[in-house]
Amino acid sequence: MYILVKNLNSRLIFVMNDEVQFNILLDELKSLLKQSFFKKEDYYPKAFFDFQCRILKEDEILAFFKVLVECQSLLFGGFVEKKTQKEQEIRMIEGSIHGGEVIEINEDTLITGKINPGAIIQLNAKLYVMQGVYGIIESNNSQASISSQVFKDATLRFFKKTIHHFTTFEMSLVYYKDDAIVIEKGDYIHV
Amino acid sequence: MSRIITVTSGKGGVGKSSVSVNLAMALAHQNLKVCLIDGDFGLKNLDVMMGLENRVVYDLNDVIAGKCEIHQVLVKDKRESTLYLLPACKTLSFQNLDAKIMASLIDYLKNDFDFIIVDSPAGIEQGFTYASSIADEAIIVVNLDLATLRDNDRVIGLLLKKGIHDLKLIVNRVNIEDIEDGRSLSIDDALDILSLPLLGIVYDDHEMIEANNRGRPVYLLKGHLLHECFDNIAHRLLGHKRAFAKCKRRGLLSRIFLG
Repeated sequence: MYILVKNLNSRLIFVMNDEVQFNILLDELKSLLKQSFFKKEDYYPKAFFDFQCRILKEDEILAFFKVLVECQSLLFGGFVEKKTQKEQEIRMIEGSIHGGEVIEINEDTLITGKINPGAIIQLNAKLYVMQGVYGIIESNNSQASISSQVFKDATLRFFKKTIHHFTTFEMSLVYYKDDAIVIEKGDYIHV
Repeated sequence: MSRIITVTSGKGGVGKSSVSVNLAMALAHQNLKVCLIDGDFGLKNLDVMMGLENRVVYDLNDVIAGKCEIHQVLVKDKRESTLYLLPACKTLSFQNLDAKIMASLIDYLKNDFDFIIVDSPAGIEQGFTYASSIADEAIIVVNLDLATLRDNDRVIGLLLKKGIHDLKLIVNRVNIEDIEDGRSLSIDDALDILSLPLLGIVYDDHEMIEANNRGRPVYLLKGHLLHECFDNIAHRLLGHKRAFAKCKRRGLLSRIFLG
């Protein structure tokens, strides 16, 4: 069986195997559409066709539609588009955050420099700092986290919990969970 | 059109004025027309350091009051013919500064000079705000101590916010013995903390104190290490590549007998 039929929201989705020869696929489609389910009077279900990774040539498209016209069992709804995963964008801040600056971060961000002593980051997303955290990180967002290779005398404040003078030279991920600030150390951090 | 550079530092006493005076001298020595502005309104001292105190006839107050033209307030240096000083005025403060007159002053100077060096006052208040508002570039002067470097990190952030992105660093009063003995931070530490391109190094030398007191800028001592330092800084500012001057550590006998 090279065709999988799914019922989704009162619509039929025909998932067509993309590895078998096209003419074999068409033969199976023809025999499927001749079955009693598709032969009900005055009922033409709307159908969509997912050819997955197969790219149809012009003559194959014509042959496909010829089968549909011959069988007269369905309303052709369209072809299912290949879903593309939306890439998550990370905002980049080039350089360092200087002492005295207060920066609010609301989207996943990469800082290529440092967070210098006296700088304050108000964090509401994931933050990655390449050259080190020497300043203050504040967050009231449970989804927020910060990763860096170096933390030196950094102040980390999540909700009402605070860690002062946090220093480590290991790659670390800091986040808030179960009413506590969690520090994970490791060779790599999942982004 | 001229380059307007503010010489600044958050911390006081690091040597901004000394650097401003000698840098202006070094640039003028390259046959460039240089205007040195004493931005420390109310506490003027560049005219003293340059030995031009007795040559100051008009000041900014007179310009604002319409008693003289702008070109009359400029004091020509007696040694470098292309160097002019716009002295500060002790009775003038930033509160009663007329922005329109200052803007027209800067416009006049821009068309007439190759370089305008603004000696900014210490701190990050009105004087700093004014000096950085008229400048396109900034030179940050630091000493090798943590307090200065931390303060200047703040200054860098403020300058970037004001749209001045051309920032360079001069490390003043560098004492090689203190660095080697671990008493002071190193130049690499300063570069690491501030992440700015290094424009120059000026070594710690008693000659600078004497020069400032005598009103005879140390740049005029040809052959002296500090002359070389400022000469190199001026050339780097003009885009020429220059190696950093080397300061020899004093020998044991010299340290024993000369202290």
